[in-house]
Amino acid sequence: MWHASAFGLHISGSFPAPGLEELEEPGGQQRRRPTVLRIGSDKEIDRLAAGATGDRTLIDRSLAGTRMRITQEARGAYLILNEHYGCFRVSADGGEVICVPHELPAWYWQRFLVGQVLPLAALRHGLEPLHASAVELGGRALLCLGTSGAGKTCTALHLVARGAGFLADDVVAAEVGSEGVLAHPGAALASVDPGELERLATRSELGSWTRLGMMQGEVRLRARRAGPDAVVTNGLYVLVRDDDARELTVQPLPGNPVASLLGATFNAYVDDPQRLLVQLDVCTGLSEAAATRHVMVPRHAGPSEVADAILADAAALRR
Amino acid sequence: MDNLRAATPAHVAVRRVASETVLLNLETGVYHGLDVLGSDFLSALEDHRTLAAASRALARSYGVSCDRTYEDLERFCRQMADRGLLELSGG
Repeated sequence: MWHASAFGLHISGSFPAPGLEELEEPGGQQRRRPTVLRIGSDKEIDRLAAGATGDRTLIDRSLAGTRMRITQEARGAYLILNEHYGCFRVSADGGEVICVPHELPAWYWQRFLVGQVLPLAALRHGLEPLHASAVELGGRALLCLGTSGAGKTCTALHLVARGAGFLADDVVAAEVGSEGVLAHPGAALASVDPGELERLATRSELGSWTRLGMMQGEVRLRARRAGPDAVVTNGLYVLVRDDDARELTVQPLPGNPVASLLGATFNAYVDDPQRLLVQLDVCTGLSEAAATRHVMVPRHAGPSEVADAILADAAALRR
Repeated sequence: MDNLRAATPAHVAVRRVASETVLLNLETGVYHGLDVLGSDFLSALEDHRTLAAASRALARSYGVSCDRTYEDLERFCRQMADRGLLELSGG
């Protein structure tokens, strides 16, 4: 059995899981919540679901031609059916995840495990997952937020190529701590445009990251993380692509930053008061304790220029 | 009218963010935001027992008449109450 730390969880499993199983044995000072992963069967899921009455359908939709349905059993467990990847059951407390994947390579179906299922487990443990990529710089976390295609991952990897530590691609588990809002590292995995990877690989450590395969037009990489411990967040950069913009600008986020942060949270279907309070405290905590920036990205600016602008802004913040 | 009171119910969480306020109705899961003026109104209501006392404090702070401030504050309270964010009593 392997043990790993990601999303603030102490994850244990006994099946091949590239990007998880090679991570550090959890240790150190920080508390992590236990989550056991195991492979189950359709029969087991059916047996667990049998006798459960009062199930609620929380989501039933097709996204990019793939149907996804999430139901919550009356006992609190979540059943996630994804037509493409398989079926997953997350216990009510987030302590157990049963995976019934389709016959796909482990690294392939585990993109869904890492991107959707483990964040739900983290949420049930009291953490707040955010759609963000994150790096560690000077002992603090910088988060890149934005809509899909805004360039969160590429920008983060360009920051890594300039010496930052890799924390997470796409999902950051956040938690209010005594010194601010902590950003927990994610799995050591990233998906990136192949052309961008070629540019980065020739002049940085990213060239040594293992390529697991191609998926949806992107290279899936096993990354090298900065470390297993959570880092206090001191910068939030919301990337906004605007083809009409003339120049790349980094400005204080206009309006109340809480609204932007709420837009970056996961799992809106989990709306019990306990979760909502965590969500509120993480979003207001980040708004108060971290610099919040609006990065206007014009058509001609690539992630390299965005990374440079963020580094310059972060350096000014430190001064 | 001197006894009209307003209080945030237990199912509403209130957090200050800089000079603004975020309110979360835990029963509906809906977030609400108050600008600087709304935040000042809410603070005055928290600091004083009645709308009348709160409006007197606000009138002093903003240099406007008590009657006008009371009208504005009462309208604010009714709108907040309609959204389940304040509970009114007395009056």
